[in-house]
Amino acid sequence: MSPVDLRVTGGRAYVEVDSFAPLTSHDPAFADDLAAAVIEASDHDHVKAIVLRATGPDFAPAVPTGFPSAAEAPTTWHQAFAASTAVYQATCFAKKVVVAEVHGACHGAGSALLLCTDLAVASEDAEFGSPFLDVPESNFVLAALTIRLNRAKSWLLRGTTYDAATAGRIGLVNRVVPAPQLQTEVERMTAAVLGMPLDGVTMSKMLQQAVYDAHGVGREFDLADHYAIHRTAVGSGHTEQDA
Amino acid sequence: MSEGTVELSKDHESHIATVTIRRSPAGNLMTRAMASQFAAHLANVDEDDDVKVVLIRGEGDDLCAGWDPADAWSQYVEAPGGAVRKHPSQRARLIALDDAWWGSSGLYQRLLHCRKVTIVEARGRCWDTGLYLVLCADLVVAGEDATFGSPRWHNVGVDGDMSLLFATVGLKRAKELMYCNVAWSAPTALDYGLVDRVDEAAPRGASELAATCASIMRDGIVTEKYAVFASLEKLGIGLSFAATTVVGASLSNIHFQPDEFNFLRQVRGEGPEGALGRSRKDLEIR
Repeated sequence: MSPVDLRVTGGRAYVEVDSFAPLTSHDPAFADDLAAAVIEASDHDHVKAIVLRATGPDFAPAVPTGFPSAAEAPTTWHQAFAASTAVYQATCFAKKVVVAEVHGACHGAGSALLLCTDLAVASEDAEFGSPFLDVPESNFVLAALTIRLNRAKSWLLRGTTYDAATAGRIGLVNRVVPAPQLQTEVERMTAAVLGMPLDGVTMSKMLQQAVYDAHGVGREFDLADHYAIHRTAVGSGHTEQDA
Repeated sequence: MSEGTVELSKDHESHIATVTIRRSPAGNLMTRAMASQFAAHLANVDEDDDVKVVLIRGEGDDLCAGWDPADAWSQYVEAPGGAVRKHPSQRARLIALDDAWWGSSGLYQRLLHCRKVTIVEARGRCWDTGLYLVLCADLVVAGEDATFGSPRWHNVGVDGDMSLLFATVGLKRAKELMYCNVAWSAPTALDYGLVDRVDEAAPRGASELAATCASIMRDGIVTEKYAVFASLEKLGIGLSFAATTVVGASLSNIHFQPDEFNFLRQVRGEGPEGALGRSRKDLEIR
């Protein structure tokens, strides 16, 4: 059975995994399956909203990361994590509204993925680690646009972990609710999306892409390979000069 | 619905010009003709060296409850190439949206690039066009009853600029407004940075702020405004406005699925007031 499950019902697509942590450890098979599920949901003619859901105890617990070699970064690693068809850009540029349903720990790639979604609902127990420490494909432009430049810089440089209330206050997530109400709130939020015409959803997302391009979101994704190569050097203990 | 006007008054002694939207029986719903008047007034004050501040307000309870849907179609028909066939041509739709709203002489560009300090007194409904008056102005004083949103997006998709909205309130909050059929209360708008202050007496608060800004030397105001214009270019606002024109024209051709609320058919069948009422009944104020 695939670790990524896609289910479509009543205009919503649910992409369910145990957790999104395998993205942090740079598991290419998981990344490919997840990207394929998001693209399939995005292309589905009856889907207006895509929900990213973890069925395990955490959205994305902290796990050891795996950096690619300098040779792999622009090739196999790029294809799985940084290409335009890879999971982050597939999510960011989906033609439907993507909603993250976050509970428990959200670290590394979980936060990188969160930045690529349109909307997010978090349970009160959620916490959000910086994606920039372990995930070179994280998009800093999205972070700056979402929580504003000063906070994004702090997240990048200090590795701050935000609790759910803070994440709500700074705009990293839209709503924070008690854990038992998490799925209900996501259903409520996506019900509003389902009330829009399908053409309206799709064309709105196309306009959103154009605006993202104007803000440099795509160019930041293009730099992921370079960040990965730098991270490989730093992560393996090389001095700046050696790198 | 009543015809509306947009009036300009200037007080050279205080250096404050006031632009008042007058269509209160209809919540100050904006038409293309009113937008053209508004833009002409902004061009007028831009040329008047004795004006330092433009105060924007609405007559009655609302700043502006939206874009009049009855006018939305006629503006395409009346644009060059709009009446050639049964349905307005695509070029007519593009020209209409550009000329009245998003282009260099349109209302939003005029307001965004006004060389004076622009202040909005935001009361009641600040929806659709009202939201963009708030986004394009320099400063906003909101009344406690003010609400901010664009409910038309729920009916036809997002046909307004996103770039200013993203820059002002952040991505995820902007998308809540875009996709979740919500409008924000004044305290929420203050919390998100959409307005500068909430005042139980917004007219007084806005007037006091206007007087403060009018005490600034002219060169200082214009210098700061040109710094803002440079930042707007760096933010890609012009590109975004152009993209908005293209997508807005596309959205005027929208097809509805059989189970979807067909706002355009409702406008034709029930008239604009009935269609607006029905389309906005589920709007959530947060």
